[in-house]
Amino acid sequence: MATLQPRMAMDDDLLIEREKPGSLSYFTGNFKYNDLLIDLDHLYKQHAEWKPEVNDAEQPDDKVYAWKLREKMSEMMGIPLKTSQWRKITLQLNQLASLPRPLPTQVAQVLAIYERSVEQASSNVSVSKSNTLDDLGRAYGVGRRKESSARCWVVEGEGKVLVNGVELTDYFQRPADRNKVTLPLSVTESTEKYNVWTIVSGGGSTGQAEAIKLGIGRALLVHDDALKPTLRKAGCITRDPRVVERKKEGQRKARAKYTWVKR
Amino acid sequence: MASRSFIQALASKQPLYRLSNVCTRSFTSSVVRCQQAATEPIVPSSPDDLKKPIRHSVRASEPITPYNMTIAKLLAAGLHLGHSTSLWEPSTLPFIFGTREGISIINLEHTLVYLRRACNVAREVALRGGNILFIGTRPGFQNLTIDAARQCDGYHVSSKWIPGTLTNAHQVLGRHAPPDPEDPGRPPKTYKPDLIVLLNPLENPIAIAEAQLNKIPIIAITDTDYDPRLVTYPIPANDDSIRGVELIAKVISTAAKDGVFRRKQLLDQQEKAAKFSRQQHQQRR
Repeated sequence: MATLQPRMAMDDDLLIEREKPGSLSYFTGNFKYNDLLIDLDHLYKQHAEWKPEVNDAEQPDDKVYAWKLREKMSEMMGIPLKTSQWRKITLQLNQLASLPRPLPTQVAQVLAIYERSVEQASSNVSVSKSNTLDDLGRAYGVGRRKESSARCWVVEGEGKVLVNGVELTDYFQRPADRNKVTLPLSVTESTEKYNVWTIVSGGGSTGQAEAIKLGIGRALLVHDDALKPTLRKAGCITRDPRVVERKKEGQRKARAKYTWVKR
Repeated sequence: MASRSFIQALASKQPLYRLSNVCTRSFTSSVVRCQQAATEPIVPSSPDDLKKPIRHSVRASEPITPYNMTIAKLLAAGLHLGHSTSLWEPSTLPFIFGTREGISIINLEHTLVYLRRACNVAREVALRGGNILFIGTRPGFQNLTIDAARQCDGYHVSSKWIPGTLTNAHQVLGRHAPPDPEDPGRPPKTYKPDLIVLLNPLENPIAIAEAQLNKIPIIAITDTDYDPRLVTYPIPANDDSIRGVELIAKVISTAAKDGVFRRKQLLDQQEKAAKFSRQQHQQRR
């Protein structure tokens, strides 16, 4: 029995199966990111009026969520994420995490996917020489200033200072340089407490002196962390970033320009 | 021709927001309706209702469909308020009812007609399995664009229209598309919309230009400061009020949903007919 309804000419292509894009946000150009934002927003609206049953037996859940960092999150999603995009995602995640605790199971499951895993946090902490005294009680510090680089070992002792195997008074002729080297010890009143052995190379006398100053300051911190504010006020912690500025073409030096000629 | 009640309402110098009570076919029945409205309390009695956040700006007691759209509803959403007369586009003259307090008033009878036409277009496109793209790039339009797109299985662009989405689709859309499972070397297939519903054409001239280059029809809400001849199916209405734009987006999306539903029905019918004829063929054997 054939169909009784008359078929119009255009009905034949009316119902042709057409391939369509899968995602709602296909035409935004970044559909995974936009879909994620929409889904998180939708989830929040679903659970906006969440009122958990107050159970006195259970302890309050004060978990603070730490989210995956930008690189890890973009790796997980498979698309490159800009910082502004990552911030928008974490804003939505924070909004979800701010719902009254204990969170609904669906929300908790979603948040668990974007949580920062503990292995990531622990790998940042590196156990190296810089944090502890070595087996002979020596603290190691590196200081740099303006092409000079100093390696300093500070150990409990009477107050001797040796620079490149030579006494401090013999190595630095200028008293200003000598004072700079002993500044970290004098400021913390530990001039008679520690011996210092330093290897310094590169640069000139002042540069080397300031490099040693920084190295001794860092080594002292390994011995006693509480000295930090005193040393910081004295200026023994900050690495001075000033270096010689490069010469530019069309100018005589870095800043000095050639005489201006009217014609 | 505008209805007499509409003219009387504007001439009577009543505040514009209360015109929904007055705008009916016969003037006498509106008085009764006024009295009825006065008896209902404006402020909700229970405090819980006040504390609830207002999630949807258009709270519909009856569903908004293109079939029960009336000028009263358009008026309530504020779709008749055009822009300042000093900023008007002269080609919108046929759609302007008049001016009042320095702004042009859009004739809602035209709005209704053009809105119904746009709904028909959307329905027919959806019936033929077309891709409908809703574009609303103003910050207030994001949620309503997404909801409208989701309702009718369409697509949305609610933050920024990336120039080159249609003309440079290979680069813009193909970038994040998954590669072909059979042939990883080949660039992935890109899709184009079959109909664009644009909620703020004034801010998206690039989208309009790209659609014209690709012969895609555009439905757009054209206000009194935008030339309606630039788009295929203009809807002369206010593009500033979020309530108004939400109403139009919902109506078009509902019409498209009808088309999708009708398509499903026809496909099911076709399948059943094919099955039946196969059975018949087997029986004859």
